[in-house]
Amino acid sequence: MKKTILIILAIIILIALFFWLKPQAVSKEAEESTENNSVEQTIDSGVKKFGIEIQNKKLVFGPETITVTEGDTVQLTVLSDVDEELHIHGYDTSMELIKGQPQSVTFVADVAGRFEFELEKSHTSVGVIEVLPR
Amino acid sequence: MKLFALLLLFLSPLTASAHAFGQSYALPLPAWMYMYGGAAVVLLSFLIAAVFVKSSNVKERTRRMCSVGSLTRTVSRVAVVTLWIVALLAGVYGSSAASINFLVSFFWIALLLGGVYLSAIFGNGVALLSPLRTIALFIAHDRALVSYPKKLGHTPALIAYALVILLEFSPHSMGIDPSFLAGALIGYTVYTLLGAFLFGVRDWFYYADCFSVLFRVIGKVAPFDFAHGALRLRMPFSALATEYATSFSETLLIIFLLASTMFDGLRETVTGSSFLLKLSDHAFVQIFVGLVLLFAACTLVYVGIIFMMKRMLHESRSIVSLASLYAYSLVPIALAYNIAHYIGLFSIELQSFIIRLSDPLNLGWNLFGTSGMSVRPDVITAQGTWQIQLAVIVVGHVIGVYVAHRIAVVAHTSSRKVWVSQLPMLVVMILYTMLGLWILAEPLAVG
Repeated sequence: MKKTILIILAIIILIALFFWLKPQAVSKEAEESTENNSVEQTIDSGVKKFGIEIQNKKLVFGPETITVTEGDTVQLTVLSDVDEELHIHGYDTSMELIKGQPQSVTFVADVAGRFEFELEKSHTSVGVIEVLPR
Repeated sequence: MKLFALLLLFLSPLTASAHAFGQSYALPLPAWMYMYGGAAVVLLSFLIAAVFVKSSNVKERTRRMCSVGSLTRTVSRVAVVTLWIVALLAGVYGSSAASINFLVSFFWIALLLGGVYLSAIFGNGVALLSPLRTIALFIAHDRALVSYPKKLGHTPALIAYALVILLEFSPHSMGIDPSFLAGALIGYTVYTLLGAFLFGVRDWFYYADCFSVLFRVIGKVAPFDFAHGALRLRMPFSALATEYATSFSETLLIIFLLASTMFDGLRETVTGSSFLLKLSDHAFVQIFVGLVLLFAACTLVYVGIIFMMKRMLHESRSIVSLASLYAYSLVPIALAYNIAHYIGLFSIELQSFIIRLSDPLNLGWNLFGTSGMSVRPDVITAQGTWQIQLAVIVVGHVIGVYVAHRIAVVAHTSSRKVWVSQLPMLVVMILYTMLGLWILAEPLAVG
């Protein structure tokens, strides 16, 4: 009898804890963190735009971690000091980088996760896109 | 086969695209899930301690399911040996790109991770299917020239497994360089066959072959095992409580399994990577020292707790004996953390393995019709990954605590001793589990 009461009590506490700790809406929290995350981000016609600059295979301007929410349309503009190819893993999206000319890629972030983007030819990781679940 | 067919359903018929080996797209565990997991772990630990304070009979009951005929055994062994040889050939003659080479995917994903997960289901069956064991039996017929020095215990397996892990973490992608990996595995094959020829197949694969020892230890959690030519059903995790580590080096191997997986998670975090940078400028030194430090810390905590237990119980048994007695109770925690850490990687790279299986030597074949398929990053969603991580960590911990209790029931005569012995074990298990959860929730470093 004592065991049963203890088990029932534990289950009630675990359920109560779950609802107490679980955020009301993950997407709201994600939106807030996105807005606080980056000064380089602008939102135009529903497209979240980010700009980064790469020099000597290193990120010199822009966020190292780009945080968006699942379903967002993302535009990434990259200025590079050499001809290269930027590849976003997971989405398998690539764009040719031309020295001194800003290049853009737009995609719908429809899969949540943490995706590296790297300079494909030199296998150098530049940053990550964190797509938070809605 | 069902798993294979299920995975094929997930694969969309698109052309293969660029995909680097070793990618995991898992996000850090949200803070609220980390807090919930921590609270659940502490609460459930004390619940188990409170509920199971009295002794009860511990028996391992098994039920014979079906016999496994010699034809089935021979066909399975020939298939696995063929796969091993093809994989080594792929390493030597296949593409030099890790992203499409069959050996890289076969060894790290199918053999090392897949072997662990299959062992957790089929028990000792996976260790018995070892291609090296089959070749050794064919050559040496289980005759030993000299007896295996039992004093060594499982030390050769521990060292070999530590080398495998160092290869996995090695900088400059050495572990995924196909020709280097093939060279290392051919070397290991020759070493293993020599060892089996010298000390006998049975002893060598019980004590010294790291893969057999690893899969056998993990296999103790499984609901199935193979014995006397038959597949048997048993209560899952029961073997953890009725058997015990036969050497201190086996205990250390279990702790190393836990510590090395934790280290792999930790080095990817902002906290872990900045700590490693402070250790040295050389990547290999960072990895070696970091891994040794974490392994030493985990071992010290465990041995310290066992020492405390010995003092509290006024036990006559040595610390080594007690440590070996309780070592298997750490296996569920180690396995749970392995699943939680690698689930993202495994879900991605298993697809890649199935694709590569159709053209293992990169000759343009399409043996199973999977060559033209692409890897889907969302086979397990981000939220699904979090839920699996949280669930396996909490469940693994609960099973660990329960197994420790069952071991105590057999090991100690009075209910009081059983209860007292559990307090230090609870502390060590909560520590390991909380560290595992914390690593999963830490922000990840870039690069």
